[in-house]
Amino acid sequence: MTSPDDNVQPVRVPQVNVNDDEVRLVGWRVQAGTRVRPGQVICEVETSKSVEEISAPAEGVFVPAAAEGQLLAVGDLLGHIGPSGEAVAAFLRASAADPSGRAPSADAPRATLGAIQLAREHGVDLARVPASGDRIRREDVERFLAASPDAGPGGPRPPAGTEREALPPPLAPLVAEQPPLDEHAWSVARHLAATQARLTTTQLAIDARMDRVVAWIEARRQSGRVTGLPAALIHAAAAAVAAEPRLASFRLGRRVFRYQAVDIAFTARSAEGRLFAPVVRGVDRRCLDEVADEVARLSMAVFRGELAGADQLGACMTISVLADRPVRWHVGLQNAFQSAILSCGSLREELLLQDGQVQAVPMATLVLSYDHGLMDGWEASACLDVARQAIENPVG
Amino acid sequence: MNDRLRTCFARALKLDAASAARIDASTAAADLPAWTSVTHLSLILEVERTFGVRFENAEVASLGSVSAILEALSARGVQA
Repeated sequence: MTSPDDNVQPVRVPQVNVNDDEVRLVGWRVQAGTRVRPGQVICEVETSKSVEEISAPAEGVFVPAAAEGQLLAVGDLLGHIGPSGEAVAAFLRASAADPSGRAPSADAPRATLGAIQLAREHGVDLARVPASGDRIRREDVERFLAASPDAGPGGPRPPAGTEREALPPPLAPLVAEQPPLDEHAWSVARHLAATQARLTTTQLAIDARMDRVVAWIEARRQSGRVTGLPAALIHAAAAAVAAEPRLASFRLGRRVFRYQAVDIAFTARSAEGRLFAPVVRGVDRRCLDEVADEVARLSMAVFRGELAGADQLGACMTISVLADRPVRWHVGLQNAFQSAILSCGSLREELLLQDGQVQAVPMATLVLSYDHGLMDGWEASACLDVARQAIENPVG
Repeated sequence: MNDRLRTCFARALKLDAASAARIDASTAAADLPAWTSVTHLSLILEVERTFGVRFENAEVASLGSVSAILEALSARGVQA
């Protein structure tokens, strides 16, 4: 007689590439209870670089154990394959395992596969490594090694991503190697590069009168509320999203996802010069003054280096302002899982003919970076014009 | 207002001594072009460090005048 689990096997997240300990489950390609063949694609997962397909390792009925959108570590359980759904259910009852599918151990700390591998390479006892979250990650081991150079026989390893790429030999005598990017800068660079690789980015620019925005900012300053341009640009972006919801969408290959809420991020720098993108929630339900106060609150949190993780997630698009820098316009790069960013350069004065008189009017150039895979230039230009109209006619 | 607070303004807004000396309790952001939404963040941190207080992030937007800063300090038992 066989036990209930003899023919049931777990399907775990494989090491998709060397850089990622974790992946996000983008979507299932088979429904629960589907009979699958070996090699049949059962789901797609998102890494920092690409979307990858995961195939069934065996034939049988597949029962998922993870949810779409869930962040999973390498080695985590995706589901089970068994001769029937009942067999899998019996296996799960019999094992009465922890929900992650890992066999719990009293003396073994929970860790990602990448963390385990790195710890082994350096002879580090994982029990000595503090976890930054619910499990020990590769970054935790790297931090531990950096703080304890003698922690393992191999000495400290460079942080992820700082491994040497080949320098063309003719350049070697012409350059001097500098300290590598810190973890934050490397994370920003990596995610922007990964997002750009996924998009077909195009840009459009438009000039906007800023006299009314300037008047609104000045009125707030007179009342003792220090305000800049980001709030007005966020409001303008929300108007554009209302006119064209595809701005609040993003692609994963040919699949398209649209955000339910008009939550818009803005770029902000910490006192140390680190770049963040805090999110203003429900912009379409807030008046401009409320958005300005929220921008101030989030900007202070960023400046202190205390921005909460929850304040950085889920924006449908981003705005970027360089109003206090000597640039006419700049091209923003879309953030991860977004398709659009609206940017604004510095204010300038231009002479306009109005009612038969020449007037000096503050102007700015707005630039919309968008995914040409979602909309063409004709459609995107209409969005940008809506943003222009909104910023030219701010309603506090 | 005292010179310690003026020094905060001079540092955060990069003001020369003459400009800093003109700051008084009636000064607001609208009176100082250098008091922008960006330099405001540096000013708040400078005031916090100097006087050993901590403002709520949510009240930072409303601290755009010297009188508002003085009031916020006073509410924390600090006379500046």
